[in-house]
Amino acid sequence: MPAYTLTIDVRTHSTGATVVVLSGELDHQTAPRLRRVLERTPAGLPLVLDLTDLRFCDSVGIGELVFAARRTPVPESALPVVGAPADLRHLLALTGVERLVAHHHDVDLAVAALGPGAAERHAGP
Amino acid sequence: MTAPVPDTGPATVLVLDDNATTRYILGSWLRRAGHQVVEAVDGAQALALLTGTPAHELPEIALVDVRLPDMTGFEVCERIKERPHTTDLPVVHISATAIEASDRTQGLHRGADAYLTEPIDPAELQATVTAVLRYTRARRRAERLADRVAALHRSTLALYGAADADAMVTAAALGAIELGAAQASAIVLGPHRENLHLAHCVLSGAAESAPEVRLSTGSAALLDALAHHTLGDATGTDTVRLTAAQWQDALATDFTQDHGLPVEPVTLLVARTKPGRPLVAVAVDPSAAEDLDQHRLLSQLTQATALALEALRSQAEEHALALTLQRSFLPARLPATEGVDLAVRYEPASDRSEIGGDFYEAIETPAGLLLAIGDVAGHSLEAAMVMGELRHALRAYAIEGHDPRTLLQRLDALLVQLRPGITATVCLVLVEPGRRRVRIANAGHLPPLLRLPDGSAHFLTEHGILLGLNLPQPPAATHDTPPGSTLLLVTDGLVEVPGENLEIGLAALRESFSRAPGDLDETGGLLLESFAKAQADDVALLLARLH
Repeated sequence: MPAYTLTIDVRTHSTGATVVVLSGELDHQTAPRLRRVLERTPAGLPLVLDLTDLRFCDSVGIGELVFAARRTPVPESALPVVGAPADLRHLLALTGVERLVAHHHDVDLAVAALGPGAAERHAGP
Repeated sequence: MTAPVPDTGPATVLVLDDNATTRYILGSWLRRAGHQVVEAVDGAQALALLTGTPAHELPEIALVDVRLPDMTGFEVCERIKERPHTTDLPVVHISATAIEASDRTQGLHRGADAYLTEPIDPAELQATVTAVLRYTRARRRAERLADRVAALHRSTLALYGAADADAMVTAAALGAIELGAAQASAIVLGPHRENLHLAHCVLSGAAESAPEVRLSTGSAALLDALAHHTLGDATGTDTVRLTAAQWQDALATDFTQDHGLPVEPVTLLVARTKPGRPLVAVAVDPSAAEDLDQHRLLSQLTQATALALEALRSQAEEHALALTLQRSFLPARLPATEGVDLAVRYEPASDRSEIGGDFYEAIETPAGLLLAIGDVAGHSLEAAMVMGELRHALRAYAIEGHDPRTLLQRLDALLVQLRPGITATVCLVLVEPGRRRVRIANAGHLPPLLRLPDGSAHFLTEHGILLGLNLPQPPAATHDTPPGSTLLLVTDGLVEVPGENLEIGLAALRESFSRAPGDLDETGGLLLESFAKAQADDVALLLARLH
């Protein structure tokens, strides 16, 4: 098994939404790989980030979360994220990026919050 | 260097036969041809003799009678070949007349290298010994060469893996020892050309223990002296033999240091990769470079050292260039302002890591004294360039007298326009002319700390989103600053450590700041010392005391 500082697991939810599960450290060394993964996710479909096991995120990592938020199908809508650890939430708050994301308890709730027909109309809270 | 040693010179020969007459006859023929002879009367004695002999004193060939009192010659041969110590010892069987052809083939099948049948013709014995010696010596040389080529390869990897000049001279000196030198010194000028680095290494007596390496530093004058004996200013490689006196004279040019090297003749190998580069030198005991193959390998090791040093040097130069550039983007000095004392600390990221995009600024503007701190996301030359652009743009906009929120929005527009995809956090603190009020506009940066005259410290947490997203900023927040208030602005390098909680880091910073001494410079030093220890990132901090 290769050793990764950041593991990125891309899943497709039954509703068609792309779920990207991050674990480990998102920093200036690992962020470019997340960027390449995000760029390959279908642009028209909703995206959910599962951050439950993200232990560390620096300013470049925050930049990637902003990039992900801007990839949501509907402009100005919030990026659904799941399980953001307290420290990350603190950093999101400090950088003001909090307003670009919507927190959820689990992936199913996050996808449900996207509402029916989310692929065409992505409604943020 | 000298031609290869002929493969047919005299050897030590083991004669194993229970018949004293045969031993005498064979021994006298061999001695007459210049060989040395050791004798054994049976298998056990022969094997014991071989076991008790150190590797470099072993006979080079064994003549073994096939019929011995305690075991057959075939068995002796098999034992010789199965022991690692003697596995390369060629065996020539000798047997009485009337032996079956199958016996002969059996002997050869079981490991013997040749077979002689009595009565033996002296010329045939001589020719057989010569032929066996020739091919075993040739094979041994080929094996040793293969081993040394592998050793050169290992040393080259070690040279390229060396993180600094000391590690490099160590790898070069050990590499020369592995290539058969009994003593080796490697000499290079460090990547910043500041210091001469020398490693001296002596092959240790005990085979298993690693050779000891002694490091020293000195002056480049030594390399000039060595160049004078060899390449001068030319590029390429060169080899020269120096007398003990010449070597001592060369060493004496480095008056800064007695390197404590033995005063003996040396063979000096040097290499220079490009015009204008300092020489790389390896000195070994002359016997190590006598053999042509060996000399080539040592010369290649010297070249590999020069190339690896070149790689280390360009890496160091690149980092130094980036650091210089980064520093040139930061203010050379802070303005002397009435009613405000300023202190700044800036620590670039550790030597081997990349450069960052931290910046700070203090500008007198029509609206008051503007303090700024910021961080461009990323560790690259681009991040440093963007940092420089932002700082200069900030100065230009600030002189026009805009309020902090407008300044942030201008910077945001600039970033979106000129460097799309890059984000930055910037915190602006405008100290109003009377110094009794500050206005804070913070674009996603760590909050500034305000310490009041009573020693209590708290974060000024109002903020907007980071820059580079084309999003609006909230209005600036206003805070009162009674006389003696102190502001602290930091970058996240100070408190952001993987595996550590940001909130805890910030709380600890607030705690330390509230207990900090009155002197601003002292406070800056203390904060760096206690928070930036494990830091790979750059750290900037700006302190302002308002009278």
